[in-house]
Amino acid sequence: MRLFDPTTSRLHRRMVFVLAPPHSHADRVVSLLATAPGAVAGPGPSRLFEAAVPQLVGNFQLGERFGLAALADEETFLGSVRRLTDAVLQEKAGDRRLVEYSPRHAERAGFLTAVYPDAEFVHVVRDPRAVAADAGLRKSLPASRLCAPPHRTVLGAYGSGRVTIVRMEDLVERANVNRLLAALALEPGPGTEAEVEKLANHTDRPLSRPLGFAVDVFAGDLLDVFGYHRRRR
Amino acid sequence: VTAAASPLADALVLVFGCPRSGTTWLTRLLLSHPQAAGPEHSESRLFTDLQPFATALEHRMADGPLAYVEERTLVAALRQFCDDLLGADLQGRRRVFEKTPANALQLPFIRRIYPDAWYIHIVRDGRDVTRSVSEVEFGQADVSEGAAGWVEYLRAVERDAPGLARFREVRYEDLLAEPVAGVSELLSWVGLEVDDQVRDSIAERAGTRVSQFNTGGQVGAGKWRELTQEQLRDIYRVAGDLLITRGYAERAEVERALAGRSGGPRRP
Repeated sequence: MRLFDPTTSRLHRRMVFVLAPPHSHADRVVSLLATAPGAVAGPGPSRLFEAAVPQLVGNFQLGERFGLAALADEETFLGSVRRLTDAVLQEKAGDRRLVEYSPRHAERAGFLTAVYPDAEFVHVVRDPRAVAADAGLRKSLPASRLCAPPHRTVLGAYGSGRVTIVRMEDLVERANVNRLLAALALEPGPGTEAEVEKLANHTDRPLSRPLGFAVDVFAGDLLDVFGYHRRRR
Repeated sequence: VTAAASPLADALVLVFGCPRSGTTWLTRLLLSHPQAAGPEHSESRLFTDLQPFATALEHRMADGPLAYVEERTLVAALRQFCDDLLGADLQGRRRVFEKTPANALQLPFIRRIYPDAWYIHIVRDGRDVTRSVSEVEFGQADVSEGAAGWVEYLRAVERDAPGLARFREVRYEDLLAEPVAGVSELLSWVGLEVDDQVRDSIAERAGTRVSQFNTGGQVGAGKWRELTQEQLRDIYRVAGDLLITRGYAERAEVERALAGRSGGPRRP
């Protein structure tokens, strides 16, 4: 057995994974965090935990007589995945903290926090109604469900990682931005103010009444959890 | 990790072929050797699950991992990852045997990661393969589809094997006839010494049935003769040319079956 020891990683305590469903404007949070002198944004979605790694995990979970589990134990498997993903991510990090966002990583939050127990996770929440409106879906049902499952997955992973939750709507205030940076042990940089202004100048698309109603019904619990007001009760 | 610096340098032996061609049986015989490591009955599907990386490399996708590292760095990272898993249970032994039939369809990708591996392709009569595939739960009941799968596997290997530095092809029927000689020869080829003890172990294992997935009947070659004329015709329609090229069927026999004339195999 090869012990999984994140402290030996070159990226130990240097990864910041931003978790959010698509249309959450998470890329703006990445830009904002990357204004901190000690941080750098990844060049785009690494997609490491989107396709190949989930397949490997599924294979490993077949049972110890089958698939990858017949080759190695869980410690070895986790360590191998960490070494693989570190090898991909570490060059762009340099000696700073790397901020990474891939739209579907939120769906894999549980395994991501298992492989990176030493990382910081920023769970970005945007009003589900704005997400649904942005998604441009005509049918209200799929639009309202668009963002709910990934959020629930991230919420389920809270216990196993260092997760900071942030609402997009709150980042228009500099004080909230400073609190977020402080939670990540980062400091504002010269470009921070400009990024906050960009966020403040954003206007959400108008939301149709049926779509708003559908979000209330199918993602109502999330509206409550994240402190958004329901339109209908 | 480069191939030369890898802990599995020159150590990985990959056994592959169309499903139901005897890959499990052959691997089990190869594992007779005390210097051979690897799971006897399961396939790792390791390279199959790494397919998204293969796609990124093949299409040089600027998005995803290749936005972060150059191709050679990604290949080295994948080598290290595979080394970690495949070599986890090496325990000082000199060769690791890995059996996944579908590796036959991924040879260019696997070669990038393991240019120094030993590649063993086992080929079995497509008619027997098709018959066997139609029996198992995960297989195709339609013999045309089963035959098409056999053709796909063999064509893929024919196309990609010339790029492999260490490649051997063996026929299931030859190994079945002389398992000790055939497997000993393969073990020698991959650099393992074969003595009487190893030969005895191969002989002992060769007599054990390993047909998986609860298929019935005796393990062996030539069971395709139990197929109906209609099924054989369907197989020949799809795989006739390849069966002839591979020496499994005579042209006259195939043409006779396709024409629907008597003289071909009969319904049991």
